Amino acid sequence: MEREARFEAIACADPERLVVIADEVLETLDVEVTRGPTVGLLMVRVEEPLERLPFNFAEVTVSEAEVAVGAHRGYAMVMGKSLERALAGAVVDAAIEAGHPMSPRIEAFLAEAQVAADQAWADRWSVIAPTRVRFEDVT
Amino acid sequence: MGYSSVRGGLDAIEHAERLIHNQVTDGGDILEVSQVADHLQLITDQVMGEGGVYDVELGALAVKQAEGDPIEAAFLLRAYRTTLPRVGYSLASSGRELRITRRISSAFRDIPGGQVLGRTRDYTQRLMDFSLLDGGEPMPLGLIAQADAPDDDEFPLVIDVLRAQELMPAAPDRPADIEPFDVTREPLRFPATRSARLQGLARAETGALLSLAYAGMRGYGGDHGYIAELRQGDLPVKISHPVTGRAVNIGWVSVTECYQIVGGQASKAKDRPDYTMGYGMVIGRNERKAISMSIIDASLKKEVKSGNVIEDEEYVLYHCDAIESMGFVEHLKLPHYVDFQASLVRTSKVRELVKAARTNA
Repeated sequence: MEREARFEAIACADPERLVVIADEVLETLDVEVTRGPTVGLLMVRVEEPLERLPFNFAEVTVSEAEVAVGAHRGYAMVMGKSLERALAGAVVDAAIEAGHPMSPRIEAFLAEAQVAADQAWADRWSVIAPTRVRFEDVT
Repeated sequence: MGYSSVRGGLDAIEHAERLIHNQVTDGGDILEVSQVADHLQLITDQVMGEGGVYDVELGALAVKQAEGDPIEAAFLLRAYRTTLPRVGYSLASSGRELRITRRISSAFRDIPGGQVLGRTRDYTQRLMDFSLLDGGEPMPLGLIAQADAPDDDEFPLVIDVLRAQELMPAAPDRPADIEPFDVTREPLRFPATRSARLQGLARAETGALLSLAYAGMRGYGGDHGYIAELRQGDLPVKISHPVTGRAVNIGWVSVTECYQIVGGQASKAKDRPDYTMGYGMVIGRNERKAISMSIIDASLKKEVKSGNVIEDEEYVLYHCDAIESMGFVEHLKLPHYVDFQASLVRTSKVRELVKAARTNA
């Protein structure tokens, strides 16, 4: 799993299971918290379509954390106010970077989380799809 | 009756605050924040939009705390946001990246990708549903089993059709490194940049925009344009990964966007009857606000003004913010004892002078 895909999977993973896995990692790994965990605001920028100019659309609450395992950095940012979730995400990110023995399990969990998120969107679409309009010409 | 400065009333104020708190927390059926988020989505969306902060839990909490008053709730959100640090800016997302949940066009019947009604009551009679008094029952849906989620490019923008026919100016290259104005960090200055306008309108009060847009459409400086496309969906929130530097998605924000086309009149001054466009994007499901924003945006962009307020960016941007307007109007409730006493003294003096003048006449 590429690092970017891992980051996105952490962001959408089930928070409770993510924290459980991170706690398990911490039993066997020394982790230094180097940033946060912090709740803050991220300003979302949008590109306006006519002139393609960016503008500041609205802020979202985010939680972020960064940890270090030796020379390896772990980082996570998730939407919402959830310090524990952000810290857990950074821990599992660092664990994989550091080649922790739990890495295959973590990656399997994250792959599963991404599949679940994709499926949730597909399920949502499946109830929207019947509202697609099929026009008929009346002559 | 004497008028003088006073102090006191603290006990009464504290008791009044407790009455509000108990109204929200006491009683037989306590409204959970999750219930607000799940069942009162539109008011939660409106509050997040007018507060300028996307967080469904906080938005629903604000609605509950404010007893359903959307402006008061937006005020709570605005106040809360000042306690949080700004961690940065996202990469710019585009409406093209929207994960579509609704998409219609009133300008074209057949649009690439087709029209998707999504969740709407546009075509429903406004009749009270008394079955909801007993909770109501969900209706069966025409579920399409295993419907594949749409491809990323399944819903191209309708304005691209106009661009392809050279009825609208072609999309320019993305301008390099333009830092957008941030109304949360700097006071508005006029003339405002387009980025300041769009940000100001996106966090404006729904009713204020609706009123201005309606007045504009009725002849006070606006246009009765056409909705090339009205879209609802989820906008990706992307940042640059701090280690790899590549774009990553941290989640999605529910938005509504409107592409309003106006113009189309031929004239001797122009080569062809070009259309132009007004744009609206707002938080959540709030089509009324997105359409209004697009009408106002188109009016503010007019090169030839008619002198109506909807074309005046200072008028629009200074008067469309919920918190600013509510604060100024409702501050009249606060004690003005000294101000009014001064007014009375002045009035009394004038009366004396008038009386003296009449006596001497």
